[in-house]
Amino acid sequence: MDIRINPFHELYVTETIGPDRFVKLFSPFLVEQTLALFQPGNVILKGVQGSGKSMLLGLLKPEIRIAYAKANEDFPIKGEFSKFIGAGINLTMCGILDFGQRPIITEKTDEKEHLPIYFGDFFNYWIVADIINSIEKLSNELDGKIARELGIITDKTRFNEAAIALAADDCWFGYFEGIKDIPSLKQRLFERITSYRAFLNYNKEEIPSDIRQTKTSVGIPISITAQKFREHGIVPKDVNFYIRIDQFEQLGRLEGLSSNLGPLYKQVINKAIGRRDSRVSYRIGSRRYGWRDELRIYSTDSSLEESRDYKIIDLDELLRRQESSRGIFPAFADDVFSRRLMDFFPHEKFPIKIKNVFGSGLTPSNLAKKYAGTSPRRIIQIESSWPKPWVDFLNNLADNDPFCARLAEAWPRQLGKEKKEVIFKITQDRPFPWEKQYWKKERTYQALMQIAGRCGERMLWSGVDDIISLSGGNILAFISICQHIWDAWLRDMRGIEIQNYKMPEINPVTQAVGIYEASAHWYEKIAIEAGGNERKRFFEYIGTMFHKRMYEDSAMSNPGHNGFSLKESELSSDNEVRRFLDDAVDFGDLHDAPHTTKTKDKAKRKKWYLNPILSPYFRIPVIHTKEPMYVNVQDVRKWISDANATTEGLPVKSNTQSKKPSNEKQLILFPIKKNKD
Amino acid sequence: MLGNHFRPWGQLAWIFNKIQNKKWSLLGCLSTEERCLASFHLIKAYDHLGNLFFLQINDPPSKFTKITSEILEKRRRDFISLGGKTSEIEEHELFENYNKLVDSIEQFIKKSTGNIIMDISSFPKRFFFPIVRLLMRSSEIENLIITYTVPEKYSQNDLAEDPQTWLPLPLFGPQKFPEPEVKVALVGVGFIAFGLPELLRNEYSKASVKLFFPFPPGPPTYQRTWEFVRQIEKYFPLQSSNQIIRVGALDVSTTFSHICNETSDGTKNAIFAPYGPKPISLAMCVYASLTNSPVYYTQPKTYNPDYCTGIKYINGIPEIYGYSLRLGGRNFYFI
Repeated sequence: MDIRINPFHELYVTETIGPDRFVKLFSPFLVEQTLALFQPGNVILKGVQGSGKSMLLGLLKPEIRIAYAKANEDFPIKGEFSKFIGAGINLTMCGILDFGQRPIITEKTDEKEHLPIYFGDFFNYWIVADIINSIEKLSNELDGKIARELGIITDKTRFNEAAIALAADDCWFGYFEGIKDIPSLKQRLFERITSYRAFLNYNKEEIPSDIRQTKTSVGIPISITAQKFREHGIVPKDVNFYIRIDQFEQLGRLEGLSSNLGPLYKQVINKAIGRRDSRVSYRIGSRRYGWRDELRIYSTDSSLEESRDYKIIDLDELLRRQESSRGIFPAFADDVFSRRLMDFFPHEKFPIKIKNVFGSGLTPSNLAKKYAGTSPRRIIQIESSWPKPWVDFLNNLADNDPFCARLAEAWPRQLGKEKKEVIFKITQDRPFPWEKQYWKKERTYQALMQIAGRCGERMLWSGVDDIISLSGGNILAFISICQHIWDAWLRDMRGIEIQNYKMPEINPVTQAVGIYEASAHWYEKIAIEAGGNERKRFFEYIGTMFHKRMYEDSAMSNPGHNGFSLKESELSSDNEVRRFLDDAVDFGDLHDAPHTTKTKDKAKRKKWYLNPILSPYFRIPVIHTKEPMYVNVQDVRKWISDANATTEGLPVKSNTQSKKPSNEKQLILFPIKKNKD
Repeated sequence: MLGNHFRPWGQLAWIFNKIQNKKWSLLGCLSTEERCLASFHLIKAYDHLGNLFFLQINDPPSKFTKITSEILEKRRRDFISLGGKTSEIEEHELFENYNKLVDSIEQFIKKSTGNIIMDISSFPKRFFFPIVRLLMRSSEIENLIITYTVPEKYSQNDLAEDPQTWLPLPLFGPQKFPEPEVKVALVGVGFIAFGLPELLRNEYSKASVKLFFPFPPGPPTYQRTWEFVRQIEKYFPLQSSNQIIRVGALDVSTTFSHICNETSDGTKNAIFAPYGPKPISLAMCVYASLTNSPVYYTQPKTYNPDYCTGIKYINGIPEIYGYSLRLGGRNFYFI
């Protein structure tokens, strides 16, 4: 393998990269954490783009299982959990969303009464066709090896008998009359889907009457299909049918859909899920808030209920660092990293850890020295009121330990008489007061950011901890960072002979270049998603604001102001702002979390931070420490408006308009000097 | 020597010199762009105008709405001063159900002289693709020419914003079921690769991807087009330089031939992602119409009112190109 090829060039692992590569690159790490996906019952798999949803749902596809078998590797789903047949539909690619674009002219009544039924009918036929397709694939590939493992029997007679029994069921309202075998059943299924598509593409004058008169009820034919295949011994009773629904959240977003049709179509799918039918289980991959918009069940007064109708697996929650622990992501990332490098370094001993290649990064003290260069005294800002001995002390400290000097400079600016006295009672004894463990730890990144800024240097990010933190629990972000670092390293190595097969140890400066490029790339790519330009303007606004506030906070009183917190009650009263923030979270541009408030009212709050990978671009710390900015919904509304970040601009409501952020109290240390003009 | 592959195209004025004494029905798009009226102006100057039908396509509300409305108002006045009537302009919404467009075009064909010039210069792809398809399909049309006017320059800012998710363009959705395996994904290289890598990765990464790179792009365009390629490369590594095919940015005929070549004259199933210059998209549209190939696009929700300005001239003649799809009932594009 050519060592000059970037092992992280392929950002995604799907079945399309070829069976051999797939089974080598796929990390089964998450399987154990998401076993509910491989057990009966409906499951909603939530997570932002790049969280690994598609990779996990891909395991339900027969192609993946076949890929493992072809590569002679164990399928990552073991034992009872592996007994399933997967089938699915991609809502945006199959043509189903065209229902509503063309009137179904033969109907006399309101279109909206009929369209959801046609939608459900198309859905049924598509899934049933895919179930048969999956069974045939599993039976035909590798001489039926996987089918035998699952106990699937598709001898011609039995399969045809099942087809006849299925065709004769009342759920089809006679559409399959005269079907005598599997090929004719399939042919009739295909004709129906093709007729729908031809009509919707204006290649057919009308939907044929035999279709109009045999519309099916969503979900029922799918369950009947599973039942008939089991009854006829095609599929054993202990093999489950899992139905994937991809791009579900798009039903709520598409501009092309007539008003209200998107929610109605969601309700139709909810109806299939709400049947709680043990014969089949549904699997829906959804972004964080894409699922909860519409839970009503079509043409009923009921709604879906979590736990009763479905389970939720929240990948973001699973993978993101928790306040109390680092979570499982570092180990997952290590596994993915090692698998990527295995082919490129055949003589190395695997597994390889991220740390082996990227190291631990620079210590804060070394980073500060690097920023300060040969003029370390520029990293401190002297108050004119400070006594000369204190100023001399700071300057001397800056010469030897600029990081410590920056902390020292902040210390007397903080609240508290005791802290202010330090400038008159200078101590030489270590540890200094500003080296108290937690005080220092909470301010390390803000101090480094300020030192870099005061020296006119770009912040340097490197080492395993920075890379894991910047990835924010998102494996796509992690691979993207690795890809950019590797590219930077390959550029460094241009013209230099690389020692074959020896794992590189990439220096921190090269890493920093790659990480900044990855960050800039992620910032730029915000715009390529729906609504991305508007969100990008918002992030530019708040990212710049965070940087400015944290950079100008000389006392380092607010090291957590790289995020903001809102009362949940306020947010729920402003749908526009809520929707805007939810969308940003859905696309992974913002990360949200419940916020344990420190305020007296103890009101429930939520906090938001920029996607960590954007931190280098905006020159803000990645760490979430201390308190975020406490703001109210009007502040956020104003940011959105000032950033010109909505289609029509969110008007600032005049009666509640706030002129200053509601956490103004926290800025009391910096009284604003009012001009008298 | 040209045999069956002669597909007449060139400056519209040149084409008019070859086709005399015809009255043409002009279908255009009233937009913020100055070039949207160039064909109207020229056809009128040659006294070849039969009747007119212009669509005004309104974007959803955006930060540009006010300025767009002001420019459109001015353009409307220009249209009237050229002899157009308000009744010859029909308003459509960018994301309206496409049955409204189909009805309008069918009506236009009925009222036409049977000789139709469609000016695609200012049409969003969501509109020009289905319209070209409907026109090609109509047996009532004797002569069909598509025109394209080169602008003086494009905006340095983003040309469009807020792309929608991947969807087939109206009337270009997949039809066959089960869908035959897609062997070739043909992509027009434009300025912004809205979500394109995602489509290729998720749905078509088994297909051979070919990028139609407009050449010569000329500064400052070349930086943007290469940036487009770079964006795709980042997610979807290109394996060979053969995956980039240089095509003349105005040459519909050669682009069509390249498509035929890549698909082995229609025997390999293809999908299209028509970014980039409209003439290249037109070649894709014609081929996809003939073969029922799916065409996917991430339709932007908002267009910059300064998308492009002015009209480019060569030796004092506006650069308006005409592409003959059908003349005297004879189709020039076929598989």
